[in-house]
Amino acid sequence: MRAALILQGVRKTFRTEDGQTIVALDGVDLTIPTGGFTILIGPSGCGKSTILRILSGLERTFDGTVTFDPDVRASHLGFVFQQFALLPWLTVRENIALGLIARSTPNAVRSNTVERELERFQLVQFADAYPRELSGGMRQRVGFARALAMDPKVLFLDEPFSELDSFTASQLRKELLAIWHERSLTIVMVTHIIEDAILLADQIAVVTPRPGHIERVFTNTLPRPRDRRSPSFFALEDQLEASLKP
Amino acid sequence: MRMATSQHIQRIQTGFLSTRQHLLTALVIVVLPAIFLVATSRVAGITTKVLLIDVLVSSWRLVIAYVIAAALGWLCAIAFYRGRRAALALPIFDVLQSFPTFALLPIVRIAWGPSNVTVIAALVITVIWPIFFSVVSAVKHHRQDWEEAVRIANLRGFPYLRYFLWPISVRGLITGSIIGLGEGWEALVATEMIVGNPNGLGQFFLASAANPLATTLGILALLAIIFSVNKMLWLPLLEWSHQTVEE
Repeated sequence: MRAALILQGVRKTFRTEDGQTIVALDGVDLTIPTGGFTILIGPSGCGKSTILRILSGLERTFDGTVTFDPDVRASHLGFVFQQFALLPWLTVRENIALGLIARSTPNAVRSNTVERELERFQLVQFADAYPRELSGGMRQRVGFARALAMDPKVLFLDEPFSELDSFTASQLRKELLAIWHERSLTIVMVTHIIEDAILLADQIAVVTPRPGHIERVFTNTLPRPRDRRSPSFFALEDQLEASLKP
Repeated sequence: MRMATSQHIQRIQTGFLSTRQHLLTALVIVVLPAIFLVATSRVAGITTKVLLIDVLVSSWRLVIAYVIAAALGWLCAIAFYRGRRAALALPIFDVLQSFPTFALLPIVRIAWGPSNVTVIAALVITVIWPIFFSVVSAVKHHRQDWEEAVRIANLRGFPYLRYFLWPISVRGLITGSIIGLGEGWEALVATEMIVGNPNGLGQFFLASAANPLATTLGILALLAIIFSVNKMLWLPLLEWSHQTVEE
């Protein structure tokens, strides 16, 4: 199994305003397999989003090492944010094009790529709208389109469905799986919903708090598409719940 | 989908209506005082032409000073808003902004005499600080994940300036401009009086000191300009700048 990313001995501390040092993560070791769908699951405040930020390069002050596959460079990373993080002064089209503008992609190529993503996420009608004119579900579609327009090899998702209603979240979950297959992506996602983890991932890392560390890594071999009413689904759910209990 | 489109149209219409309201109000504020000025200047025994020339000369000086202050203030804010440069420079700028402009006037006057350059230099020193600090505040305080989205996109150099720094700084530039110009008018009249320029509103007020009606007329002319510019330019711009960062 080839690894896209490897975390070794990662430790992250924060300093509070009254000068105390809080250890957010300690001794985090994790291997993200190339082409795999890895989910970090844990309760709020356990440090799972911090691990994601360290992996994606958004957090740079930490001890330990993050090793990338030689084929994966910083420009091959995409990120979908929990609260969309769309730039409100740019239209949907411009938001999607942001990474391509940064790479000085020729106009024709940029335009084609943006059109492809607009169509993929059913956003064509809203190409010239501003984020404030869209519903939460549409905004997250733009968030996905923006991340995927850069043709990433590794896609990070920080609780991407938590701000959405259950119907929209369910739709986007299906689309995410389809995109994962279509584009041979390595996906690392953070969630606190056990069902999401079992439905989507083939590797589930349980993160527990105080200080945050990887408690256990489950390999999810349930056949796809996954049946949430199957006994094996419930069995894995029970195991995960037991691991997450304080 | 249809709902989002109709909301879009509604917002555009609302924005247009509010801009139209501003223009109508400005028209009332400009036209009525203009008629009033012509009528009253006859009574005050001065020519409307004298007053208009003084108003125009003063306005022109302020506009030049504002353009220089806005450009310099914005550039300095972008250069010094964060990192090691900010830690070094911001405390120094904070002290400098407290320094009274008029304390520098004698030196400036020795350098350039009772000229336009002297007035403009004094005005730049007054107007630049509100712009600088408002822009610094705007570019420092925004949603963290916008910055992270830009970092993930690897936006750098001119695209970073165009697609990120400029849009988030505009609100600060406009707020700072409104405050800076407010202070600028006060400094303008005082500087023109102290420096002794041959024309401008400061000189007009000095020359009309014994004529209360002419003085009142000058004050009304000044108010008419300030209100008009605020209504026609700054308030619509302020509304627009709030809309651009609205989510």
